[in-house]
Amino acid sequence: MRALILTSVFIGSFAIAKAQGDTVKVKVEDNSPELFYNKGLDLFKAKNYGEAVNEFTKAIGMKADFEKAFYNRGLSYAEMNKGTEAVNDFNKSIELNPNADYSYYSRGESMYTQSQKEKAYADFSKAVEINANHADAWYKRGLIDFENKDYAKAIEDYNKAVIAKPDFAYAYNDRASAKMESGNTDAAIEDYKNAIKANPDMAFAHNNLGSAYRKLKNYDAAITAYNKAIELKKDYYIAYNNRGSAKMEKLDFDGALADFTKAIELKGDYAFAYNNRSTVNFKKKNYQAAVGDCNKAIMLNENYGEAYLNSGIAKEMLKDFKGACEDFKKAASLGIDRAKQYFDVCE
Amino acid sequence: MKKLITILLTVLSASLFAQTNVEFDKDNFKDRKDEFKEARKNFNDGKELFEKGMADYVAYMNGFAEENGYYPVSRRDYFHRDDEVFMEALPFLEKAQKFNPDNAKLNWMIGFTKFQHKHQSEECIPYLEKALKLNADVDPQLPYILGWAYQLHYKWDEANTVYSMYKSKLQNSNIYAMQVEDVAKKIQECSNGKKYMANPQRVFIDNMGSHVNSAFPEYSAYVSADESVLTFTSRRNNSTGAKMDELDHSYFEDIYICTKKNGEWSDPVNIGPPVNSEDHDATAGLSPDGTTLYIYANHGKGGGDIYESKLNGTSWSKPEKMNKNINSDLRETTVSEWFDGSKLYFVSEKKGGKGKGDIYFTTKDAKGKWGEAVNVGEPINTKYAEEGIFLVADGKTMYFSSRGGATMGGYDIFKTTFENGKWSTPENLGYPVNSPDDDVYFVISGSGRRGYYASAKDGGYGEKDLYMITFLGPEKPGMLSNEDNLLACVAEPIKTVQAAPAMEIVSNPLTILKGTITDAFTQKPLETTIELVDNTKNEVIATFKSNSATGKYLVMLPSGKNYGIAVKAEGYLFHSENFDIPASSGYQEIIKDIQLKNIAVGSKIVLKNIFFDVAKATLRPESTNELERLVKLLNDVPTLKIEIGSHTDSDGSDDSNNKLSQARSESVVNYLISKGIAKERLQSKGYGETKPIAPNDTKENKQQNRRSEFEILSK
Repeated sequence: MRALILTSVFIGSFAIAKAQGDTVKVKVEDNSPELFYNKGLDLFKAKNYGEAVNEFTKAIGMKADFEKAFYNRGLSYAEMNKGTEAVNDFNKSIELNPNADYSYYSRGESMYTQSQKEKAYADFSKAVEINANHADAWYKRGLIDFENKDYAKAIEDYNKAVIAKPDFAYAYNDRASAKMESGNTDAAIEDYKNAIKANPDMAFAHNNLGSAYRKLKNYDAAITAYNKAIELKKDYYIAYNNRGSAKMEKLDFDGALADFTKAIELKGDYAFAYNNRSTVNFKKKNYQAAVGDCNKAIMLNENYGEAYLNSGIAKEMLKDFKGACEDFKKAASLGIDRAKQYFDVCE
Repeated sequence: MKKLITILLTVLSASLFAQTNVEFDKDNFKDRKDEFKEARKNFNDGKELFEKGMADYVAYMNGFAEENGYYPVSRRDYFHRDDEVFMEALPFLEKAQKFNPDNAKLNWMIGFTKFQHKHQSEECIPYLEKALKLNADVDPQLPYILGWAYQLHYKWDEANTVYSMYKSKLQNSNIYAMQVEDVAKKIQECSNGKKYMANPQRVFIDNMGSHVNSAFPEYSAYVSADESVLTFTSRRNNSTGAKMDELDHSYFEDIYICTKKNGEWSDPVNIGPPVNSEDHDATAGLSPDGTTLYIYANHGKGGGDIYESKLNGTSWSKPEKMNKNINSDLRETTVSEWFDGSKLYFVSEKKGGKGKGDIYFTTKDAKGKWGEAVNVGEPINTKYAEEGIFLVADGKTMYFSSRGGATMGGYDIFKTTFENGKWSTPENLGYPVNSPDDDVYFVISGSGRRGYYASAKDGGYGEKDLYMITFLGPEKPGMLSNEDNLLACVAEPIKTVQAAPAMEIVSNPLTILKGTITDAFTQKPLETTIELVDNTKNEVIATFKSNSATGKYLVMLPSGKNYGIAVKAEGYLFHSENFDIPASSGYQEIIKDIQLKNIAVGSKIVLKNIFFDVAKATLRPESTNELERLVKLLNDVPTLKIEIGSHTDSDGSDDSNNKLSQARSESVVNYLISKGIAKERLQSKGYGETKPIAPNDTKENKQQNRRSEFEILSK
């Protein structure tokens, strides 16, 4: 459940909601709804969402069919994480304007945030039905397809997103990821490159490109891409961890050790890096240190099957066959099927 | 600058001088006349002794070649040959060497003597190398012996170079072909060794420790399939009679035994008389259940024979010489039983084989006698010697040592499996299990996880020690964890899924069934006969016994069969078990303690190996053995009256279950009547589902409830 909620948190500039509509021209002396509406917009842009809501409410109080005011108040509520109120306002906007693709889109986003992905998907679909060039709605539909592991459909949606917006860097990145997950690594590499071309500053796209190269065992290209990711984002522990893995697979154990250690330095509770460092220590025949790293990883995540597996492998080399056996059994119980092949140590 | 050039020239000339052969000629030592005289005397005295030894050595080697068709490929064949003569020469040679270290002949003689005396040491190599530099032609054997010394110390490329040099200089003669073959084999061995070392096997090789090993030699270890018993030979000072063999001034061999408790080997115990005598008594094999000991002894004629001793209760029987189909006029050394005891594989030097030591097998006839020996042939036996046979109780795997095949020098240990009626091409166990020297008398646990052998490694407790090899199998790959920010607008990274590579399964396809058999009422251990039946073929494939003193038994069940187990003892109701072991099963141990019921009125026994067609009362053919045991019991105890009761599970209606169970019990009774059992002694009863022995809640429990059993009504 925790993971589900976390995956629902949007990041980056894309997440900044866009208020709809220009300032409305009003007579200065009028205490009119448009004046409150314009004030609301200014407050929204200044990220003062609570006060923006007050102004939009005043406007709506004076003009009950003020569709844009409903929409923008909805956006303000969404920013304040008041999902129910936001959805109510988007509903009203749609009621007043059935072709409000922007309201369908925003309601979809609220639904997504509330983990109501089917409803979100329906809203994004309606938005693109009204406006086939709604790149963001295509993109978000692709996101849900991706999360549903329907990568073919995701790719179709991302295709539409980049037709509507040819420099849509995020869509290229995510399409690349969908291709990666479908096993089409070569095509994924092309799309990560498209994403980087559209926006060279996205550290994550460089990281993803590195991982695609790593999958093809092209470790030098992978390391170059990870280097770029780290250059763009100095504290990018994920990229350090991945670069360490590429070095590990390239049998550069010292380089791998340094990268995993750096990842740990950047994020002291990064269980993956401890686990991975244990495999380097194993290769360097530092079996006791390998067990120590696994213990730390398990302390951070008690259900960490891979760490149990790696711990067992190191304990076997320390002639602690009983301990190794217990670790392999634990790993198997945590879903690591490979561990079952290691039970010879239990005899 | 001038000074530097002078130093360089001095070094260079010294180096050039060191490369020049300096003969024991007075002109070479004009200013050291007195010393020269003494040195030349030492040289000549040493040389005379050396050449005496060498003449005998060469004659022996040629004689060996003439007899066997090849030159010795292991130093074991001429170990310490003429050692006393060579060692007598050595002090003279070394004194002469002090005076003139740059004589090729002298370096050759010292190098050869050191190699011949203690080939495990690298000491000989500098002398032989120097001799080669000074005069490569000082002796035709020089590059060959240097090559062998390199080979024994894993210097494969260097060995290859000098072996090739030797080969290129061989002269055509009547022994030329054998010499070429010999050195070609050595070159191939170096190539094998280099290959094996590049891909070392993952093993731990551990000394078995001071409580097992001693300062005296230990060797020829044998282990039971479940590793509960270990026997070995030692020449300790507490051997029976504590006498020394005059031939080698060491104590006579005795057999020792250890047992495993809580995962630890006990201190070795001298197995004592009647197995050990004041003469040599050495281990030659052990049955998989650890109750038959095979002994190598040389009492009179026969050149060394195999004897057999059985464990009865707590004592070993007097060793009996095995029959003439096994023992010949020449040496028989090691022996191993097929898992079911039906065949015996052994090593014999008898005439008519492929080489001097070959592996043979003999089959037990209906009367329990061992039949004529059959040579196992190729690809196991070669023209070179085979030794140290050991069969795994999985009924398909053999380990043995050979000097032929793909060795890296001397005896290497090989593994072969019996599939589709033939033995596979032997597979070398590789480095570091094997070495360029002799690796022999290797045994392995039923699981395949641990092996045992003897070795005179540095760091041991003296002479040969017993070592345990733990086979770790192929490397166990670890797992990396990675994640990426696959989705641009989602903060949480997504974990990369790793595909697991397929792994080779290392454990042997063997199930060991073991436990204790006791009287159900008194709890006393029982000596019983355990019949192992192949249910598919309805054949008794092996008979085992439980120990009268402990009640312990051990039965080997190679994977791939449906087994019936019948435990019988005089005056007791027999006990039966069924084990279906699929071919895919790896090693497992099943501990099953069995209690036998005295034949008392009211005793009931479930007939686990009686099978009916589904929902019918027709007896299936695989029930025959169980039914025949019942017939035998009724014939053996003619007064016995029994009831055959059949039961169903709770599936189906009461009425149909009652009818089916009644019909099934009648089928069994009719079978017994058809076999001549009087009708009056038999009653049939269908209990339907009324008497379950387990809740009818799972498939397994229901299977338990679907049963036929018999009850003693009177005796």
